[in-house]
Amino acid sequence: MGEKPKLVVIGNGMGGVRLLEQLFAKGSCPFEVTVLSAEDSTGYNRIQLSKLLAGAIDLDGIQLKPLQWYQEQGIKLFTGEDGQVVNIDRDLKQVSTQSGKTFSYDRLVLATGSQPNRIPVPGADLKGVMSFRTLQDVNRMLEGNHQYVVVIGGGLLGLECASGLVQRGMSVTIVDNMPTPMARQLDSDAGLLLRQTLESRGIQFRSQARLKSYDGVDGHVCGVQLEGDYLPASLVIVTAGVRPDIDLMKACGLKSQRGVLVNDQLQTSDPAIMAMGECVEMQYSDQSLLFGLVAPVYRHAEIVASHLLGGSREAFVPVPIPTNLKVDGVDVFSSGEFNPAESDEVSTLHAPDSQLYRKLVINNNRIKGVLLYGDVTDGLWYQELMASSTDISPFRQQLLFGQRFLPAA
Amino acid sequence: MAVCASVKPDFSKTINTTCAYCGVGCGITANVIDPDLHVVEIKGREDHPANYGRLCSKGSALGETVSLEGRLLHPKIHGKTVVWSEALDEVTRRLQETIEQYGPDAVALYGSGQLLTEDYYVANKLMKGFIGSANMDTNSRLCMASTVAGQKRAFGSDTVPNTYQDLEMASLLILVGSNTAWCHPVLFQRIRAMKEQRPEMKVVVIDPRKTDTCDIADLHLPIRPGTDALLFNGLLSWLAEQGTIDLPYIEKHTNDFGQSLEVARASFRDYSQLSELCGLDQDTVFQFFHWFSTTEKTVTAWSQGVNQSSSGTDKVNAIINCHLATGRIGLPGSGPLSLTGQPNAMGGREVGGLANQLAAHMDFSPEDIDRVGRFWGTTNMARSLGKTAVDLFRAIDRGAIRFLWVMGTNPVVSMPDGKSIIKALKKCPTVVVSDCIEKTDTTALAGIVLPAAPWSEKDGTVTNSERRISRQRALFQLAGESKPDWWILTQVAKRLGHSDAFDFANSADIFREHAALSGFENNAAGKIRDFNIGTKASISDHEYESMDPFQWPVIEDKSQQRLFSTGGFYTEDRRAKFVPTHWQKAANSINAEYPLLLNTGRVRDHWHTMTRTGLSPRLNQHTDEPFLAIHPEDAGSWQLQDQMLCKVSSEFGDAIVRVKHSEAQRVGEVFMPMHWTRQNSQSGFCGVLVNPVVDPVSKQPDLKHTPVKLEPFYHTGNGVLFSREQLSFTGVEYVTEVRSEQGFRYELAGSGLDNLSALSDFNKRFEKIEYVDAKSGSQYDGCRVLWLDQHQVQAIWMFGEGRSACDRQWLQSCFGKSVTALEAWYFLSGTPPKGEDAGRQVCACFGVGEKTICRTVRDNNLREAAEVGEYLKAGTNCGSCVPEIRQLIASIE
Repeated sequence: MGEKPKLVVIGNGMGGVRLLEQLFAKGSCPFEVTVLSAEDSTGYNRIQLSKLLAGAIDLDGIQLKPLQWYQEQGIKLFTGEDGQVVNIDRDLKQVSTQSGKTFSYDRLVLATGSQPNRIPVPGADLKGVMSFRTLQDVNRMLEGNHQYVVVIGGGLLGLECASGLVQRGMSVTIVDNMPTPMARQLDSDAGLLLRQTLESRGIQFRSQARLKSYDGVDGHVCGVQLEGDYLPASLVIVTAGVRPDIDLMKACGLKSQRGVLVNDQLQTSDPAIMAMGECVEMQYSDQSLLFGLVAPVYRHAEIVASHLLGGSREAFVPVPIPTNLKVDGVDVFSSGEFNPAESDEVSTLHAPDSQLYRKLVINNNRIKGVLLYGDVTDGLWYQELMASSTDISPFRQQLLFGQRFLPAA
Repeated sequence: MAVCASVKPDFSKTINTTCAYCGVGCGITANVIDPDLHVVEIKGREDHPANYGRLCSKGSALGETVSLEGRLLHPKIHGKTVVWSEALDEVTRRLQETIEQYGPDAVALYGSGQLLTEDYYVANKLMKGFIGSANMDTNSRLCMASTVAGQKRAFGSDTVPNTYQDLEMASLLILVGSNTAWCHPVLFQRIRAMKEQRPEMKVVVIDPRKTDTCDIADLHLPIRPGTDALLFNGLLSWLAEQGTIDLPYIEKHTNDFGQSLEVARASFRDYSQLSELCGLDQDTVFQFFHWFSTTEKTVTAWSQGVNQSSSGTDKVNAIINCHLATGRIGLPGSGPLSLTGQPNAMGGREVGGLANQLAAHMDFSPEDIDRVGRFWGTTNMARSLGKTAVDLFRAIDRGAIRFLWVMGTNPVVSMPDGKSIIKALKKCPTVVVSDCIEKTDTTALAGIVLPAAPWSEKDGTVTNSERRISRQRALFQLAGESKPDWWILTQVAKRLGHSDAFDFANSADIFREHAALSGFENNAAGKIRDFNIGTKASISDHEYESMDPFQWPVIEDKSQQRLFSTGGFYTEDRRAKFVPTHWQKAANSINAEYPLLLNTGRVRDHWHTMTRTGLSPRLNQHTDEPFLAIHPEDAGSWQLQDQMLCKVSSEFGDAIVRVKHSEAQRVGEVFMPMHWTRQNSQSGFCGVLVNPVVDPVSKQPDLKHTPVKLEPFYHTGNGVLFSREQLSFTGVEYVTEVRSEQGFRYELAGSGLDNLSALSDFNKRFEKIEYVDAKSGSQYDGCRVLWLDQHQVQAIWMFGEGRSACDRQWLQSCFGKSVTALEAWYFLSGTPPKGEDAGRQVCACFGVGEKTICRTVRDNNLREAAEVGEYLKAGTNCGSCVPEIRQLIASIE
């Protein structure tokens, strides 16, 4: 039996693990697979970190695959310093890690994910100013006895973090430069409803706030200075978005912009190297796509696997992915362009006292955007109508009330 | 103050009474369940000869109309509640002052076919015997005056020769100007049942509209309005030509046949021209003539299509002429039969409640005046005819009449040229209105309002279209300060110093005097009169209380079912008179400016001005908005789409109503219902449009023949508001209020809809759920708001262009449920999810909707209305909706 070609995968996040699952879906894999991960643990469900933070779930509950699984498949997994890649030598087809190990590859897959953004204001290096990205971050937040916490950023991650910490008994204030939370997924009406809900659960808000500096004592943060306001805090969580983690790619000369550039088959500028997940930037017709949601990343994994396994040459086709989630128990569904342009038409159903809101943005009798808040019945139906570009004029009167209100065919 | 001493009703048992509505006069058995809360179960009285247990949709819903809601319960002077003595003193003082300064003819009473005979008798006696003026007219002038005049011309008396049974016994039944199916539904059901039993029985309907009555017609003559007399002139000529006249009868019992036939023949050139003038197909005309001439048992029944006409009296005589010529009168299954509109128009005629009658079928001959004066013991008798309705209000306008007392009717709505009535009443120094309802268009113009007992609280008698006198009995005690009309009148009479003549303790006292007058000198020595119930003059209170329905005249203690089959008319020589009927075109014809003809009439489930039927959610469902029915061809040329609003204008005024395309209309003619008033509509009443032309003989207004023009009513908005609370709107051009189970519904159109104060008020008080569909270009395509409080829907506002296509019944039903906000916001869809939509209600008795019926018909492949009844019960109670169910079946096939 000849030696199998060597496949090295850098990254063991949700995308990386999904790729492994795909490769071993049929039992065996034509590669000798090595997985390198800078994190100390086996792969876990990063989306569930909020629940872990809130104490609603334990560590086992978020683990993607146990170590035993890697062993059974014959996957070599290196974590921590052994898995933290510091260099890629494309000529030698070799990667080397922090601990000095080197791994040769025939094929290399980059699934390095992303890095949380930092906000460059004075005091950003103080202890207690941190991000919320990894299991280690969660552990650090729960260490020590923090009473006052400031969360910077009113996006989904910030809200979930704040919600988790409030449930751990901390006093949490969200500092956001936008007028309403989750501005990417919600319009201002829905954002306002969400803010009311979260406030009713004890989270405080400083909206449209400008962060000036983090104040510290003895190298540890003790407060946040805003323009015109000051918040004492022994813990500051910065959720200011993420950027593709492409330091390695840049260093080895792979073509990169915001992310490492790939075509729609996830191939980088080096034929031996594919990349997937949050670290890539895909040129797709005239758009440049980045990926932050799990669904397209899973699709990346399928495509990469199919290429590696020599099957059909599948290509990635971007489809609008709805946001369909629960924020602290509140159902939210949003998709497409829910902030209308001048020429768009808008249908809304609004029961603010009961935290219910529904909105469709319509153009040329087609749905362009959907936003459901509080009750997400029919979200997928709207998604389908939007994706198929269905002319909704025959049932426009009933449209916002859902499929069951449609006149009988 | 005297105490009303009428016999106290015994609440412990069921009470037999008479229906409040049309002239059929159906017997009702009322089971009073809760006398305090006015809860009563209404059923048809099994042994009443008018209906034998049947009831129509309106009668069945009487129980829903007897609550205290909207009732006038205290006397008021200029809006201030006063005690009875003060109100009566004030009425008396003004009456006296008016008479002293301007004479008795400056006083007028305007009564109603809704008054009981006893009330009517007292009013008439006071006016014609003691005030000394005959200015006592009634809304019967709008209803049956032409028949009264026609019958008097032909028979010498206002006598209906036949009886309801004859409708069933006839081999040929001709219905002229009568939508019997809707306006006399129980008679229609009797006819229908008989026709099903005897399919050879023929029914001819002569009506410009293809009404639901045509459902049982073998032949429909969609006649041009105003040409009925011409058609019957043609028939008379035909009968003479065919030799099917009854010469012996003519010779023995009538006068002036030759002259009448000559006039009839001269009124048209030939039958082809006659058909053309009548707007009819000649074959159809011949078919009708042929059937008439060859069918011995023929009944011709007519109603307002004949009476409410500038040639109404001639139409009546043209019909009667044909019956006299064939000797078909007062025979079983044969004769002319007028169908009265109101429950007691006949009783009013019997006491002499019209301005051209004196009393008890006596007129203003010196002998009659003398006789009645002696009977009443007065020297102040009215000596000449009084003013009839249209003239009466004109006299008010010119200041000749300065004191008006309106009883139980709403002339501001029902009179033609409505604007002139308002103008006149505003000028009139004293307007007194006795009514059971506080807010009507007429009470709004009254200085003094007096709370009269309503149907469910009064006690007396009524007479139906077949001369049958029935007892009407109180179901409840008098509410608040209300009093019977007769009591109010006697109190004023006593204050005027006529205590002896008006010393009535109860309605039985009055009835006895009325009966005595009918028999007073009613013999060959005096003058034989048709109306004679003299033998009832001595009945006891107990006999009156338990009196069974009977037909007058009562001769030698025997009710006379039919009259005139062997002559015996009430003319000088006891012979009937053929009246020559010179046919003329209707007084007001269409012209370049007003090129369409407006017809008016009733809808199935409403009565008069809706003060009662409007209270019943069930009855509001069949027709909930005032409308204009128009043939699609006309609608096209006037650019009126179905369901849009249109402005109807005549020389006299304007209205805004909903357009309803209808193939049942003749081209060039439109129809509007008469029921809507300022209390439930801003602009949908037809009285303001109608011309005040009257028949020269009967003085009955031509309510069905007004030239009008139309234009689309363009407006900025259109919406429907459902509310638990009753609301009012200012500055909105089109408003119609509809009572529903849990509140009110308002159909609104015009300006100001985006800024209704009611809505901002709801916003302050209730949780708001809003739906907006904003289209580019227009501000709102749709905006719908629901207000919720304590899990109850408080109001729903559906705003949009065009008549919002929401399911009104479903939305109304949402008010009865306890709901969360999430459940409630789906109501803003305006239509229920999936196939639960029942559709517009067709069967009011069992609440069955159009869509439910259509689904059931389709799913089970039904062919007959009776089969639908088996599945859904629809149409099995009153049967009024059976024609509609048949139409639905036909439309599905």
